[in-house]
Amino acid sequence: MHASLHDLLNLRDGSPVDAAVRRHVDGCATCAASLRQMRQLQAYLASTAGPEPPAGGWGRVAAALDARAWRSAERPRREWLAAGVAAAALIVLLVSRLAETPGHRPAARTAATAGPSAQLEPPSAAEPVDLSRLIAHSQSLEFTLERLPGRPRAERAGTALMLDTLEARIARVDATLLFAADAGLSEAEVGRLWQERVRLLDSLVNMRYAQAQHLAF
Amino acid sequence: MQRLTFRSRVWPVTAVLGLCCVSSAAIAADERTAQGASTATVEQLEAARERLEAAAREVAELTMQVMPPNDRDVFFMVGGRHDRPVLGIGIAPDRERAGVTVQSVSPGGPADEAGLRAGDLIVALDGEQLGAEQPQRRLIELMRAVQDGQQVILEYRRDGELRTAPVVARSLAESFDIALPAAVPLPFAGFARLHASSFDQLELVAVTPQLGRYFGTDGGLLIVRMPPNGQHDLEEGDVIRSIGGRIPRNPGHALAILASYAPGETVAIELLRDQQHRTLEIVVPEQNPRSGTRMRPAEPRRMPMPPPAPAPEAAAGAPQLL
Repeated sequence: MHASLHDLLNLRDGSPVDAAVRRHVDGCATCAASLRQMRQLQAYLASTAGPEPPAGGWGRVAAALDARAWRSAERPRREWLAAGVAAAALIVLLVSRLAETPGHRPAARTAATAGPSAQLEPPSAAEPVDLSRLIAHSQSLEFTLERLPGRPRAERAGTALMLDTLEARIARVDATLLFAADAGLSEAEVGRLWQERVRLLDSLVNMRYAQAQHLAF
Repeated sequence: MQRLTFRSRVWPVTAVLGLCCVSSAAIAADERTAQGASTATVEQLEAARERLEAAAREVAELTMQVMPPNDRDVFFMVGGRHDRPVLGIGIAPDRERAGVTVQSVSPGGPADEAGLRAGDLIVALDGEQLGAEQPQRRLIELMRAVQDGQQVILEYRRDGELRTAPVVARSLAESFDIALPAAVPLPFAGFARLHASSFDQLELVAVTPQLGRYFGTDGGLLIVRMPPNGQHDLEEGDVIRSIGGRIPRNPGHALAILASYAPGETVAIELLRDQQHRTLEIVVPEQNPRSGTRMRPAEPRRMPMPPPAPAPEAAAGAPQLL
């Protein structure tokens, strides 16, 4: 019988492994190949630099804001957010690269396994609206979505309908935001629309991720 | 009555989803050592993925429930109409660079399909420059002359490089139609009922011309997989041509049509089976009284449930979710 995943991971990480298992792996081409792949993947991930956030996205957001809001008092916060976006993008890259490499998917304990949209907590309805944060969050989710596999042609009806519904509601929010100024919507109303967009998008990313997992089987 | 908040309703489910992600991915690794994985492990993996998908759907549905729908019809307020074509982007003016910056791209929308991304700078539409003076308003004005289904050429800059993209503008009417279930008092009556039925689990694919030649049809939805507990007369290999006289465009639309019927109503489904036309009369099911929830996870295909994820991994993998 071949070595279990647990044993292979322990061998990869240098953790204690039963001597019999170690001997088997040494003499078994299949297990040795699996272990080699795990080590290659680990080395590859360790050498991977974090990706850039969406092209110019953060800069555009920052530029659109009142410059006063980005002076010294806010600087630490902005840096924290930028780090969050970069971390989120890294998670996304890990997911996408692993998904693109059959047989080289995450070896169980990478950050990517926490789910694609877990990197930033959606804002609470009770918190004051921070438009810049919402837009940045929205863009990071779109960045994630772009790197997930596309929707398959064959879909479960229930999953397809929920995805269609989410996409339709997002489109409706986007269209409303487009005409928000002309319609005289208040800043708070615009903020609530962005909140709605982020939450819908977050759900969409989770569903598309789950769908991709299902299809990978 | 205690008010349901986003955190109280969605976060517990989101936490479960996160745990499912962790456990799913952890178990998934066994598949990758295919030669060493036992059948039981592979079955556990599939069951975990079923639960992951079900949890994601439940989060999505709860998310839509806890968010009050926007009840201000801005299109009416600005004298617009729901059937006006759009590109599916959110924009902000960039006067310094004489264009508009894409702030958001509607997933599945025209601009998304054309490859635009947040951060792109749109500078022209069909050769008309947006300019530095009110570029946002200029783009909206140009779009007023565009018809539903019309292709426009967007010029945009990404990372300093000037690019062009053909974009087919589409009406918002469909989005407003399909978004309606989430805008009426919840739970979604028909939608919820069908989640508890085997229709929800039908796996469908739109018939392409190539597939159509094989099946003897020029369109329809092919049933690729039936749920194991299917309680109606549909079969894998059937091509659904119409439901209640309406032609389903895609798998989601098929379910949306079915969801428009009340429990106990009979709906006629026209289909092709062995290249022969048939009509099935199907009674729309009542909500499953045993489910207890509006949405049930898909039945694992006679698979054993996997063990719970190890606590240390869950804690390490999903702190943001708790």
